[in-house]
Amino acid sequence: MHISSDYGVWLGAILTFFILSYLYKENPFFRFAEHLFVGVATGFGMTGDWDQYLKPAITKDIIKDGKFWEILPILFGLLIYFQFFPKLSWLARFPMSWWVGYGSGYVLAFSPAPFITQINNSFQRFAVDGSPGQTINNIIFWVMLMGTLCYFVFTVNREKNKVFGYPAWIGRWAIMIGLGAAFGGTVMARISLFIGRLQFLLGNWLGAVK
Amino acid sequence: MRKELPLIITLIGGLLAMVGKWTVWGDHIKLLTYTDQFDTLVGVMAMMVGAINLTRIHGLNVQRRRSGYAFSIVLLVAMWAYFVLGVIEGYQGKNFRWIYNNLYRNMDATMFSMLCFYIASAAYRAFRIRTREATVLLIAAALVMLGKAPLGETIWAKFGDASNWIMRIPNTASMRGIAIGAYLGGFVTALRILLGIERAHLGGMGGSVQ
Repeated sequence: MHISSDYGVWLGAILTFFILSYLYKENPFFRFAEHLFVGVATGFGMTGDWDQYLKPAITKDIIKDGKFWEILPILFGLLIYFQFFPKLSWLARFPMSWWVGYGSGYVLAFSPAPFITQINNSFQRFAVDGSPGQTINNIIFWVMLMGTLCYFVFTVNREKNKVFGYPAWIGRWAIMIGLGAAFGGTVMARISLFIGRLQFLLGNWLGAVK
Repeated sequence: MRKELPLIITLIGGLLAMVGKWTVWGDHIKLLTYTDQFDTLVGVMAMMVGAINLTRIHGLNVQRRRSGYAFSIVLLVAMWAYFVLGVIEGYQGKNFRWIYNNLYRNMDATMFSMLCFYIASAAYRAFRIRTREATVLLIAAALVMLGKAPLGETIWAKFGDASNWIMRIPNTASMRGIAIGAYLGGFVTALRILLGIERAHLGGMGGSVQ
């Protein structure tokens, strides 16, 4: 066993324990780590925006390359801070309108292509020569897909309308299996993160495992 | 002007994205290169909105000596000190990376790894409901987990195949059904926003016009 002599590893280990202490109950150590985490994460996010986007736009694009039009979005974006001044808060709607409008335009302009490809790929020929297993899979896939789509048709009373009712019933089971698979994947991801923390504590910090 | 101008900006934003993508002229002048940069810079200027909000809330905690105000000081100092350090040193600065590697990364991984305990508890509670849907969900989750973990293959060699089948057929079918529904919803919402029917993003002007 070779305990680390690195301050950083010690700090990381102590903060790991502070956070894990929440599993027992909320306590001042956890609250300290929680507030430190929120502070550092926000500072990290702001630095990222400054260093990756704003600083290059000012120092390189505007000053060096003479792209003076980039001053306009910077000033326009600053209007969002008027939300902190109640009398002028309506000015903050302008950049918000741009984001939502441009984002909506992007959805209309760019989204159809990948989705139409997905829809197209969903309706393949059922029968696959020489592969009864694949044929059965194709049929199950189609039935479950149509069932899921029927489940989300809310303009029809599914209890009275059997044409939608039965497929929607199948769709509900398909959705449960899909959500179960997603749940299993999430559990696996969290457990692997927890194993990573144990490896950090037992390996990097205590040097008990390699 | 307070109501009409944001709607006009929304429409112009959306039209620019569509003209840039769909028209030969837009492609020729590389319109999207400019509008993307405009959108990025407008977005980046909002980088401090969250930090200012946090400063207002936690600054008030400190000013009024509310319970746990010492944690608010930790948050404020961590946030602004880390940001200032990032501005001075840059994203790749030695001290900035040291804090990132030893504080931020460890706290981030521990916070998310802790969720595995709460997910396990949620699974137990779901199982206690004893509905057929909850049982199917948990069986699918268990099969996916056993198929992906080495333990599952040791218990029964076919767990891997079962897990792959669930992911490939029922999971893909149901998730694609949900995705098609979500896409149609997103498409319609985007259209409603550009036509000025949906106005929730403008705040205080009524959610939508029927």
